[in-house]
Amino acid sequence: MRRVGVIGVGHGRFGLRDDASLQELAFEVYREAVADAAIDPQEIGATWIGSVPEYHKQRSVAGVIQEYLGLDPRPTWLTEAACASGSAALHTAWTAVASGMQDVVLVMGCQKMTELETAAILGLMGRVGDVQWESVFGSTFPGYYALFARQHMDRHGTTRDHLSAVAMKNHDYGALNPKAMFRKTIDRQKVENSKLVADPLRVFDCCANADGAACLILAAEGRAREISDRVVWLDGLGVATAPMSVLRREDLCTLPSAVEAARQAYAMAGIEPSQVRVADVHDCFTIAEILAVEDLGFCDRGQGGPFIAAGETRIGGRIAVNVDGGLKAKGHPIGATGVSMAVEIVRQLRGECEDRQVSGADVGLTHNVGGIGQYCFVNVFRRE
Amino acid sequence: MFESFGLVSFTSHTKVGDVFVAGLVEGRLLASRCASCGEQSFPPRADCVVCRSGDLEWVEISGRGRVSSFTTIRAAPVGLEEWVPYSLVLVDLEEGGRALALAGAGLDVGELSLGTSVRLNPCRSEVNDELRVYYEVEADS
Ligand SMILES: [Zn+2]
Repeated sequence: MRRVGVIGVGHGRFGLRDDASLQELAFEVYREAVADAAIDPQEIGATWIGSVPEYHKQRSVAGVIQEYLGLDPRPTWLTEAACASGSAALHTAWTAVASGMQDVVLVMGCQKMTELETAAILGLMGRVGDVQWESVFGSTFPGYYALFARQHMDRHGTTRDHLSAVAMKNHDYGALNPKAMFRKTIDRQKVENSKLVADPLRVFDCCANADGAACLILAAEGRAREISDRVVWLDGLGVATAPMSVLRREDLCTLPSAVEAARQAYAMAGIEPSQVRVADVHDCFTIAEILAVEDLGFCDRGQGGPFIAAGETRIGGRIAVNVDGGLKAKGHPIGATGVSMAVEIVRQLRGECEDRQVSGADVGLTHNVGGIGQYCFVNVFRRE
Repeated sequence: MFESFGLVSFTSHTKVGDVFVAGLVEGRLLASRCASCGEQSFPPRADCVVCRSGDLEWVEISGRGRVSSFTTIRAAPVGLEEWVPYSLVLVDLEEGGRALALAGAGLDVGELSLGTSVRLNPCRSEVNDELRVYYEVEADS
């Protein structure tokens, strides 16, 4: 298989984007990525779009986006893996380029989550779990992560302070990211006085729904080197599944799909977790970042809370995690998130992140979870 | 028949619906067991995940188990707004399998900890003149 590199990136402003349609959000980042790669877009052979269809009024959005980007008659379709749809698009696009089927492709993650009425959004919220055996009792997204948090607190001694440390760190960095939804730091009181959503999780333990888009242009090694002298290589890919239902999960202190995806990605890239300098992980809830740093092997099992609270995941610590603000402060347009993570890591490895740059970053990682772990994608990026 | 299961229903048809719901109406909690390899499952499933057989038998289980985790939901989805706050308990069943269910009136969630012995009780109630059958978690007496 051929080596595949990222030659162009684009990232839009996340948040309430009632100024733009979905395809207009997509165009913003497409324009930026084409300029960044400095290519003729006629070279793009196909587009993979990560987006979760049930939030959009427009049906079958891939074709609509491809048309608006002016890329007809090149093929496109959606990849759907809940909150990991963007990484599903990247993974699928990678296989096309690595196999030799395509030379240059576009990966688009985009989502409008504020298009539907609140009642419709709350209706969707009531169907995130297994609808046959769980949703019938009123299970919710924060409710599932609350079950995880309770078990982690009981078994490993994780505390309220540990959860709050995740939220505070990610807001500190979100404040420095011009594309983030929330650009304000928060203190411990703000987190701890926020309303309970699902005990023990509070409002400031949860990320926010957002609108937004991000995109990548990938190229096969030969063409990538001709086009660019700052290619970031996608050298390790891992993807795995786990039961959607908590009734079929042995252990709620880990996402088994993340452990397996990480194992694959590290093996393929030929690296150890300790070699990763910067990572974007799926902090849909504060407890999720604690599970992530453990599942990825950045610290010992059960030690994620103290590890983060001690500052080890800040810039200057052992490994910088979510220094773009994470889902927590950047916002979570579910189809765009996986691509957004990849854009951030590419920019970190190129050294373009200014006051939140991780110095000397040469290996970076993304960890993107769909649902409560039924899908997980882990990717390792490297610069030469 | 499965549309009467739970407090809000999304799944109206399933191969395991009729017998399971009829069991709850009679106050019995039923698990499925593969007639071919003996793999038992709660909640029940029509197709054996181990040997792929579609022949299933039904076995009554006691509902006894231990708390695996729990939470109190304060932001409800559509249809359950009037229920908040309500508590969900994840139970590891003694006879295998798990259930996620509402905490019953006799269960003090404030006093709950992981590992506490509890029991999954079959329930029936009339909601909007409609029979609903479900199970909830009660203290193990
Ligand atoms: Zn069997």
